[in-house]
Amino acid sequence: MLLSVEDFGIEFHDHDSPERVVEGVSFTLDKGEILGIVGESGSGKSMTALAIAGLLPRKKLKKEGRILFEGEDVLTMERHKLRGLQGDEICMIFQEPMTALNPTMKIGLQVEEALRIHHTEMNDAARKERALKWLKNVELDDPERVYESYPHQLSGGMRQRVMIAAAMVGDPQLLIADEATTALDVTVQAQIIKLLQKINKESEVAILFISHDLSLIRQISHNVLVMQNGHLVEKGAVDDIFDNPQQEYTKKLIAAIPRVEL
Amino acid sequence: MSESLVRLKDVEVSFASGGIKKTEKQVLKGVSFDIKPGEILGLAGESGSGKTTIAKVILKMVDIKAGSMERTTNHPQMIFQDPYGSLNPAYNISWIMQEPLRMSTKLNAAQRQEKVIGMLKEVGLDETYMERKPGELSGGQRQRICIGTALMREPRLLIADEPVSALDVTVASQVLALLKRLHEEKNISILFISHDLRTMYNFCDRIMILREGRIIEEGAPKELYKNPKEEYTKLLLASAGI
Amino acid sequence: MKKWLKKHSNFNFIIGSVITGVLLLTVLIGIFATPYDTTQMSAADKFAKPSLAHWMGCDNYGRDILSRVMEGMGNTFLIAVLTVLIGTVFGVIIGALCGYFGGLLDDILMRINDVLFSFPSILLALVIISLLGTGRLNVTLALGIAFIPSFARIVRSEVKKQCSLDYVKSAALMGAGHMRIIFVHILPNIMPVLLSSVMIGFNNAVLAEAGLSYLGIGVQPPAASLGRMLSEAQSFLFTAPWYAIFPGLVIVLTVLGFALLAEGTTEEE
Repeated sequence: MLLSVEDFGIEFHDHDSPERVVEGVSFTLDKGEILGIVGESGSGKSMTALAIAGLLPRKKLKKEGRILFEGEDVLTMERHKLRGLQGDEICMIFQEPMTALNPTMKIGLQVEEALRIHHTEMNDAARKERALKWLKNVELDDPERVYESYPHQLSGGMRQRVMIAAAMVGDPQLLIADEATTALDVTVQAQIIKLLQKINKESEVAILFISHDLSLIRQISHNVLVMQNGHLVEKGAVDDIFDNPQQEYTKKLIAAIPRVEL
Repeated sequence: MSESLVRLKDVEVSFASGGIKKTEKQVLKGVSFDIKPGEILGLAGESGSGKTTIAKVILKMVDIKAGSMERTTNHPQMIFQDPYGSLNPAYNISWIMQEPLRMSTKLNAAQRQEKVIGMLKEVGLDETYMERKPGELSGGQRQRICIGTALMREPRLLIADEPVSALDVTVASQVLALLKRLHEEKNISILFISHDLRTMYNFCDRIMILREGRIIEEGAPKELYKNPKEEYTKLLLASAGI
Repeated sequence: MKKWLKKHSNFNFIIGSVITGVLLLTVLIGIFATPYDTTQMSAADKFAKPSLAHWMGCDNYGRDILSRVMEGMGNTFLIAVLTVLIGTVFGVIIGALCGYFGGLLDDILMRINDVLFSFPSILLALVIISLLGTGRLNVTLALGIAFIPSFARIVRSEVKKQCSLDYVKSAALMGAGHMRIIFVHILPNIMPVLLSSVMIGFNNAVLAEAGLSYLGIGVQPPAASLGRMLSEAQSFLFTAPWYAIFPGLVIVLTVLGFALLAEGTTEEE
């Protein structure tokens, strides 16, 4: 077991009255598993993801429960230890490939960034070799050229591939994808889904795939969590959830997918 | 022309781009189609295909380089994708919804308010929304207000540019149901612009596939999805998992 | 209003409004009554030190400095308010038209704007005064014109930003004309930005007026203005330091109070 979330909750304290955004969420994630989290806005799915990545602010926020990554609690971990995990063992890709890359830095340097921080023993040539290998792995044509490019010279789909390469370059155990395909065109979206599946098989990285789009969740996930208003509504294997939903809310979500019967 | 609300014939549109060295980018490369009274016409395409430009052509918001656009309806209305940007944040709902009446009718304030209350009910809200500001509403509620505002001038054509893509799935299906009901009750034609082939399948009477400024294929949803002729249409369908 | 007050009840806002409030009250009282006649000279009181009779002491003609500061503040504030008013009204009109229509009009007006903007506003005001002549009205006019470019520029960029939002297109579809879209639909949405630049503009106007009067081309004697008093006081800096200190302190307090107020109103919780 790679990740174990136990009775996790978040309470915001930045307004007059405290606000609960996540409550009593428990689940586990195995090595090499793809776990989909589906929910609408305000369901707490992104908050949970940020917490796992150790990216929640430390102030004005009360956290409950435990998030054990390889047996150690991310929530109470010392800062320097957490930093050792971030970008090396736990990586994250975001919705906006346009803003997630630094516009003034060449792609190659950005892909290598994690290596420069976590693998100081590597020399320049080794780093470049590793970066090029990953640019190739994410099926970018002409990785050498992409390595020397700036973000604005690439399309949205290519940028998201670069983001995946930058996340994967340090061989992480866990990749968190928060609405990572939402901003992309449908055809590009389908390619990125296939790519994530391929990477999952080849490098056995566990993927936490967060989306509001049920058909994507169905395509990519092994297991699914359904969240609503900060609560975990239902969890199970993907086929069970979609073919035999138990909870009213899950049924409602599935019913909202437009049917196409030819 | 008698049968169409809007007729586009070989429409070409270019935009100037770049700084000092001006280059022209052609976004529509000869687009022809009709919108018939009472139909829901779907326009499917990815970003950069020219979908929104077609809407702007019909609304006369861009200049046509070649070809022609005729319309027999005077003031088609539009619903935008982003419900957060399409309502003026400085005013309350009552003011916003009265604005089209202020511009096009001589009704007094009391008569206008009465009409606004009637329209709020038609879009599934009530008069408690009158004094609220857009910032206090959810995405779905805002989109209902947008639809209501658009209908105040009793248009015969409604252009809906990705009207539900920014909404949660359960909310999206409600807003679509509302559009469909208003379409049936008021016999309004809708040009439904979207990238979501799943949603379009049930919603549209006819679907056109737009790619890089050209309409490459069109047909009734069932026919089109069953026997797509173009490779690109097949790719789109496969990507949507259909 | 209650909500608004609650939202802005931060440290900057409170301190700023207390300082500004006290100063404004002093000006208001000064309009109706001052402790002494502002032009009444008295040989006996020449360079009188601050005392219970003369809180801020007396100047080289034996005039009561407190009374003159009260009158001077009134003059300075009036000029600053009018200056900002001229700058805002014309700046808003020019900026809004440029931002909304763009194109050739925008290019021409904004290039002229850039040229004017490249001069420090006080220098620009000096040029205009040399054309119009000195005096309170001309100083106001000159400063007002000098303030237009900065307002025009801020308004233009804000209007441009708003124009990219769909509610502007939506308003056009409702049948609203260009002027209605600009002034009824867009303008209320740039008010927060405009408000804070008006406050900063007021401060700059106070300093500019003080500067011009210090150079002797602002308010003409025997009328008082804060800058004028500083200018007269500098010859007696060592014999009667209070003559310079009190008007200077008032300028500092005015600017500080308004800056805090501006900071406070724009500050989010």
